Amino acid sequence: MTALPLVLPPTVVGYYLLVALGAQSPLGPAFERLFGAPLAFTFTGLVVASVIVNVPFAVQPLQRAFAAIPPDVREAAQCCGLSRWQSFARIELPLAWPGVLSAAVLTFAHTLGEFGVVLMVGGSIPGETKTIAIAIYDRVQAFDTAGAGAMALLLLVVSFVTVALSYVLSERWLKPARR
Amino acid sequence: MAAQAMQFAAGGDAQGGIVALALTKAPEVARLGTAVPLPATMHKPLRQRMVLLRSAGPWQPSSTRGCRRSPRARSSCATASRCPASRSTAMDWTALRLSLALAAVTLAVLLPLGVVAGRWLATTRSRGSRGSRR
Repeated sequence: MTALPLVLPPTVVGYYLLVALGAQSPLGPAFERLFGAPLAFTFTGLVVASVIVNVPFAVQPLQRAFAAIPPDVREAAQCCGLSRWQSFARIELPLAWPGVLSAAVLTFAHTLGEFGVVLMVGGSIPGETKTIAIAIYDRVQAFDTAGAGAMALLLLVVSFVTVALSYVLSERWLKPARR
Repeated sequence: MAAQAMQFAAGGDAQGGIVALALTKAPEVARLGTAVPLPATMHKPLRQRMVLLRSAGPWQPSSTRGCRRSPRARSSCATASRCPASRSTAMDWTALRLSLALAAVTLAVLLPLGVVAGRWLATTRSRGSRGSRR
């Protein structure tokens, strides 16, 4: 289930999310009655869609990181009198830290570049749901190649910095963890 | 769709194309080639429609006024560079800010959920993981 958004075409995910969040489904109007704002074509709706789409990017590195912790470590922590929560917070989470980092980087980078789902669920409303990936497309459509080029370059730089930062951070945290 | 056709025709992939007259009036497009308006007798009248919703926010005249009412209004608007679509500013900071906000909020919601779900998946037996033998 967590891998499904990975293989589904973004427009398919977007379509189902739009149907699920829209005014015709029970979820959309219920949310609107609770919070006074609709979900489809709003920033909140984008967040909901983005969280769902990014589940595999966040869960899979974390799952692998937690699975890589030998069960003996967990048992030893319990033998030392740590509660389950203490063992989680003080032993497991620090050991799984590289997984947390890569989950964060993947999610962040993927959200910045997401196009199909954002366009389906959010439309392209300036200031509300028009993200940079859609703005680039709009600029190309409007023959503004200078603007599109500038924004694409900026996104490239942001992505590069994100990846570089994650390498530097994981190096720093991995080394003491490996010893 | 109209803009896609325009891209195709103006990009050099086709020798010509039938596109919206309003698009050919935009300064970015006008210098790419020559445009000849089709006589109105050659096509059905173009009708534009709009829908007003009860839950819509306040009307924002500054952003949309005069741009969508008719092809002529739109073309005059495009030539005057007052339409949002034809206004060229190098960088869309609003869109960038929106993207960063979306990424940050997504991360804030998803990461704690991911930690809980990831640990749960790793430590339950059904996935055949090297998790707990409890």
